[in-house]
Amino acid sequence: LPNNRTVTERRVQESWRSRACAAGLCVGAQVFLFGTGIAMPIALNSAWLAALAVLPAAACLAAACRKSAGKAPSRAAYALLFLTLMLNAVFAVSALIGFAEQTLLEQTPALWSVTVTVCAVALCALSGGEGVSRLCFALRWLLPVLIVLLVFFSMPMKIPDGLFPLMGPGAAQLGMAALCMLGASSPVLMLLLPPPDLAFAGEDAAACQLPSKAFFIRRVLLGTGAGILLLFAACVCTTYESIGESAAWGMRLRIVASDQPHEGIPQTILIILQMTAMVLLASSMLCAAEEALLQIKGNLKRMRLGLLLSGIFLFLTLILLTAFGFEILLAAAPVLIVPTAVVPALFGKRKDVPR
Amino acid sequence: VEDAVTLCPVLARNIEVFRSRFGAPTNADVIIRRFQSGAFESAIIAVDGMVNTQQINENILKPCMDLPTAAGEDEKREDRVAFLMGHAVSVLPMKMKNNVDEIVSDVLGGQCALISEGCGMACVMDTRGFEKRTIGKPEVEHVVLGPHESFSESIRTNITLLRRIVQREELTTEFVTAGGAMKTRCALLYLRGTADETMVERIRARIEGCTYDFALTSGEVEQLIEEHPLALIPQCVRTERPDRAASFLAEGQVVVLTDGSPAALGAPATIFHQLHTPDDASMRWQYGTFLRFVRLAGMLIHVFLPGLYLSVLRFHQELLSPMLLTSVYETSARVPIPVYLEALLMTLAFDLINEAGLRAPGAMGNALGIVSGLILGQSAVSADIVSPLLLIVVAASGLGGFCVPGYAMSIGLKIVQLMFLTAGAMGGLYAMSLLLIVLLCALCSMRSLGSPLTAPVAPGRRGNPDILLRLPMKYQKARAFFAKQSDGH
Repeated sequence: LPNNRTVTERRVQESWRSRACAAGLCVGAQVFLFGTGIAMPIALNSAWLAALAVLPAAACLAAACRKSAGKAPSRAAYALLFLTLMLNAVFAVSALIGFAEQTLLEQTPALWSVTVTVCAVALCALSGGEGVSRLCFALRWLLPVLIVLLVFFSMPMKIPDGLFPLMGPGAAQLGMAALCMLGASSPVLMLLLPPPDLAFAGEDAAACQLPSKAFFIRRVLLGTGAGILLLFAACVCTTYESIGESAAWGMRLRIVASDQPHEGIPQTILIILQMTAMVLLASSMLCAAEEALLQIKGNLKRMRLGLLLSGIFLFLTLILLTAFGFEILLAAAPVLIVPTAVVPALFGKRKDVPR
Repeated sequence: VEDAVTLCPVLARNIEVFRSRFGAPTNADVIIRRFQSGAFESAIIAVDGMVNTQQINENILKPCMDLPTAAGEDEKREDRVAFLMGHAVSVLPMKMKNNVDEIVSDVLGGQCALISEGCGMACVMDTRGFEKRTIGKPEVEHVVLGPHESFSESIRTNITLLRRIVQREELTTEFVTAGGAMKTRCALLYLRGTADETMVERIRARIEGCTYDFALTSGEVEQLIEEHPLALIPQCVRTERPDRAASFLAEGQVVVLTDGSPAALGAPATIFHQLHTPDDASMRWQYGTFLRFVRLAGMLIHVFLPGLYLSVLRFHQELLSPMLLTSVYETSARVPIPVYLEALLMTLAFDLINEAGLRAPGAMGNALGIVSGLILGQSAVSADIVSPLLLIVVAASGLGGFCVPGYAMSIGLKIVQLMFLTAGAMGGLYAMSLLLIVLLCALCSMRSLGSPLTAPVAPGRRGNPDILLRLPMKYQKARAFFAKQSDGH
């Protein structure tokens, strides 16, 4: 019979694998949202080129998170992490609402779509980060492959129109867009927090090895790559001339792959798959934010003051959004690069504690 | 006398204790037979109808009463019962006890107790002889191939059925009792060295920790074991077939048998156990895999079709071709009630027919199904109460529901179907997608006895290629992930 350590080690590795898959999927989805929300208005149809800057940023961040995982920083670092993750969640939920209003729920009152979306994300988060991460793990191949297949099999004729001019409005705008895009790598920060299901892995889970740095980087890069591919599809499907006309963010999120978008079942499936990725991003971020909050205030009950706080925060933000529109959020999103750079540094300074 | 905890050496007092506990002689079922056994007096306590009286007469009473009058004279007083067991009684399974509660419980279970003058111990012997149903065919888990015998209500018979299949010295049977006032005997069966002891310990603790007055059936015992009482899907796998229960044991699961229930529970279980049938393993792998996909398609149709119909009709008309859409609206226009209400009523009517057919006796049940299905359906369409397309949708969905292997699972999926129906009506495909993700997240976070319900898919665990695809036998080498592993992984 194996010693318990071997079994426990496998469980620990699997927990981290699920976590890394969730992080990869979240970065991919966030790249697409940042690309359509922030980069596309600046760099127009070359937003996908700007998104390439996220690849090295996400890889470095994944490596830093792997190095700092299991270290206990100050409460301020956790608070900053909490706020960063919450902003990510709000960003994703807002995009989801905008997308739904422009595609599947065109005739539905805004309050209804906001309520349904917020409730669904909160319910997903209620099952805990463990459930969301496992779902991301189960969908790690299925979701990106289906999205990429659906997009690329229905859009070949449009590529030449949307691809040029390659540099969009110019190198300066491209550089600016790339800088703004860097914040899209912030979901990787969830790797700083230990997966919640480690509690079930066994008594000696703390002594077990984490997956390698290369594994973390590979997972995150796969997700980022899928997000960039999707953004590429969105860019080339909308021509250079008409890209500025799609003023609404939700409109830009739609990849108009088919010539008859409203008559295609594949188009609807594609929209649903995109939405799935956004829901998973929002709920993963919400769960991770709650875990960060639990690290600050460890005596919170699991059923869960943290989630309640997150829900209230989310709801307040959405009220703000409905009052001021998406512009405030889109303007604030590039700032995410600051905590994304600071948080791993704060985590890295502290000594190791048992995971 | 009423508060006695253990037996004392005075036979008359012990008899008085049992009389008091059983309410004899008012309670006419209780037999307390006092007799001379050699040099001292003894007594037998049993419950009429629960014991095999012929066995008691021939193997206990007669040999004891035939002893010479001086027999046992020189024995120590506290060894008198042991003397009788060694020199007269010829019944095989027996235990020496002196706790009154335990003896009373055993006697109520069909065993008999032998006590003697001067001895503070009783010998409890297995002389059960109550009537029981013979081994029959499975009522719920029908198979085309494979064995056709099922469990019965007698726990002893069920254990024997399992032992006949699993002829291994590692097969261990533990008895535990569930319930406070009215105790139910349960048996935990597992293969030593294959099943994880932690799992056995968890089940034992949960059953014995039951604080309710009674947990009589395997369904109630299942609720004691499960971790998520609010979940819509079962967390143990239930079977009425000994061959399937044996496969659970081989996989490393713990099988729980409950006295009085013709079913076995296997725990821990995964969601994939709920989708498998015993036929899958009996068939060649291609056939088994194909049938699994057919069942999966049936389940998907059952859960999603009514909701999809509503969401397309109310929110996404562009997904239908204009001709079909015209036809749908033409038929729907004549129906005076909203389409959601129409769909809800039809789905509930289908469930009503199903339930009535199930509860109605024998042949009447079949007739009821035909009458309700043909006459009511036809009449409802003629009277413009429902549209014909909806009738087809509900019928197809209902048919898909019959593909679900487990009865408990099928009821859970019916509830999920109604949830999707409502979501489709209120928010179209968007709400349905959100609901699906919420349910999947909840499913992924669930555990059965601490082991993830969605493993080995998420989280990844080592296991046989027997999840949806069922690969050939030569690849089915690994034990389930929740069992003890034998190769260091």
